[in-house]
Amino acid sequence: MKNVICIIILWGLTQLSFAEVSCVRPSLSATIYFSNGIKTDVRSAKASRASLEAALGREYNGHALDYAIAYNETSGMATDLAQATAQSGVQNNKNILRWLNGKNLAPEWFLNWFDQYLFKRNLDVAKETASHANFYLNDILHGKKVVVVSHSQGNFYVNEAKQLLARQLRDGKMSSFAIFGVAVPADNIGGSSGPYLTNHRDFIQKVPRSLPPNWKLHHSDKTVADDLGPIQAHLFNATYMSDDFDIKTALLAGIRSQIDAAARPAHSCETFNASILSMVTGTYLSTCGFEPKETINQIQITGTGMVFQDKTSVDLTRMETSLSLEKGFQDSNAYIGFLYAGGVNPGRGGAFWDSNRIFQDPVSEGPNPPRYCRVTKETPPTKLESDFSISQTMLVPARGLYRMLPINACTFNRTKKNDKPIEFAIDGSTIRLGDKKWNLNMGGESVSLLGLDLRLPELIMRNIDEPGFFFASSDEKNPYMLYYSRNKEILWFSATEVNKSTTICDFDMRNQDL
Amino acid sequence: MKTNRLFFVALLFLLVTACSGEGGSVSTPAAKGNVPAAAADDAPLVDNEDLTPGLKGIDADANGIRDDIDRFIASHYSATSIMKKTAEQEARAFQKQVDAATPEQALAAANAVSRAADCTFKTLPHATEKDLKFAEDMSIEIKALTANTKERFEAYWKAQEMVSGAVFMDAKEPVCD
Repeated sequence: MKNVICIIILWGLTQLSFAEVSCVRPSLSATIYFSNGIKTDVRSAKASRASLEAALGREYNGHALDYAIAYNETSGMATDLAQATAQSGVQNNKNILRWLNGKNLAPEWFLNWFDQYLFKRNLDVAKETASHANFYLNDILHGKKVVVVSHSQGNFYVNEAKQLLARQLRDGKMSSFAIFGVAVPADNIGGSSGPYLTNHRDFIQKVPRSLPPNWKLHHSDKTVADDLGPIQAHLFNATYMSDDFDIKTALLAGIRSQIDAAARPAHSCETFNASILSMVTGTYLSTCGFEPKETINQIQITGTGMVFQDKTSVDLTRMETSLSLEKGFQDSNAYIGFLYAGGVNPGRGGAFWDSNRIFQDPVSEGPNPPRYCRVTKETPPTKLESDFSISQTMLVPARGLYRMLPINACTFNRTKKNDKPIEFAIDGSTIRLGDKKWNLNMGGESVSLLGLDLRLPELIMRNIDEPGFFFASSDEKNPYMLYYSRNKEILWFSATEVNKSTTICDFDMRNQDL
Repeated sequence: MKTNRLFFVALLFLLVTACSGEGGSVSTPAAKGNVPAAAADDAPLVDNEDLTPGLKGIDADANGIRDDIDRFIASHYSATSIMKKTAEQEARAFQKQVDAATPEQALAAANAVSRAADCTFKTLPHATEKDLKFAEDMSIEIKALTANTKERFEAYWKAQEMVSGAVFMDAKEPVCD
């Protein structure tokens, strides 16, 4: 099934065409994202977003304001809660949603269950942050400021999303991203001490290391709100955005201040056309699917466009207004740039890359739901006796000498035959593995790179925080070899035949820098 | 960061437990232990509430809204034809979430909910906090009815979980059915 989807997606990419559009700097604008707290369904998050729009409007100080929700929801809660509800003797579940939405009084068993549930839970925010960061990135690259209003647990998500975003943006573009924390359980706001608001009655202040309360809450009649329950005091709409208290004015002022403080992003056309596109120029093998029918397609990215295996091409030089990242990959924190192209009607296609490979092959929407090319771990290679065919160096960043130490995680025939470590050396235009040596500058043909993430997602995810690259034979009939490096340390190595199997060879190849 | 999150959830446990019954409207216990919720909470929102097995319930007129929810809307949110249509759009969207079995369906349903919310925001008054609360209460009551059995409740939240990580932008016009 996935194979079919991948083929469809790749076909879709070949059908892309970009309209002739001018690259015009967008008008001054900002997107206000609401990052919700726990136990918030989509509709409730929309209510918070609506309250923000009602208060801030669609225009502020020359900025056109858009609104969005960066949604998160704790997995597994529903089943547990439903079970607890049944055990409590409640026959009608409609009250749960009312309680969760702050409507009607919640019984003690419910509160106790919820507390204990939270106590057991550990948030895994990676998936959400990658997706959210995609949208933040997309807005900034389109010339829009981004201000995230993060409530409660949403602060954890936006903090991590900011770290991810910071890896993608250059030339000061991060200054276009701003956060305003509300009821903050974290110990920072995107790495800083503010800005944020936590009222003195809010229970969140008891979270160890949370930022301290910085607002003494008053009712609208000027009396101190010491009578307010600590949970009620935590609610976004009912307290922080309520006219019944004095904090709403301060919150809105803080958000507006962040809108003003965020820098207007530089014209983003240059980002893609001059910067990212130049980074990714090269020839790629995009691998999708599983044995025995995995498909390998060649995509060449030039300074002006993408040329596919069937020679169709896409002009990328004027793609600014066509870029629209609708749905990012959800399970990777490993991206540097992206290409997103509309035009597959009614679906869409796209590709993600970093400087040396396409590592997230096309995604799609509409009738072709988001899918990612994936290959699970398979058996390690059983042969490596064939010489490699390396036709072009892509190895300059990794110049150095490496020692490959065989470990038990891989049954790599070549190393089985050797009790001693095999030297793996990269030196300019040559590569040496033990007593074998290959010249990497043969023929001037472009080397074909493999989209290895499609095969080895977990490895990529683990190491992508630093530059790495792979290389492979341009001849699919011949074995290829590839590796991933970071800071002169080869973290992973594999060799196999392209059309035969997908392999992971967990050699521990630590740089000995001999 | 992870440690901090653990502290966060641990604190919620300790604190909310300590604070329940303190007087806040949410934390005031209405029932204890295995005692069902307060009678007021169990008061039916509508006569002959559909508690039949299954996710869809009875929708005799096949309009995408359970018949009991149709009656609820008719009795509570039909002051104007626009209000009624808005409530019905929300009801259909919530039912889609309950029915969603795959991430793709959940995303489509969530987009429908988002669009319905935008419609509500657009068509119903929203200038004051009271206005916003009226619209929010409407959606809360409708979705509470929609997810009124264990099976439906689980399905409803599963649909939320399946779209965790999604970003909901403003729906494109027209936002109303």
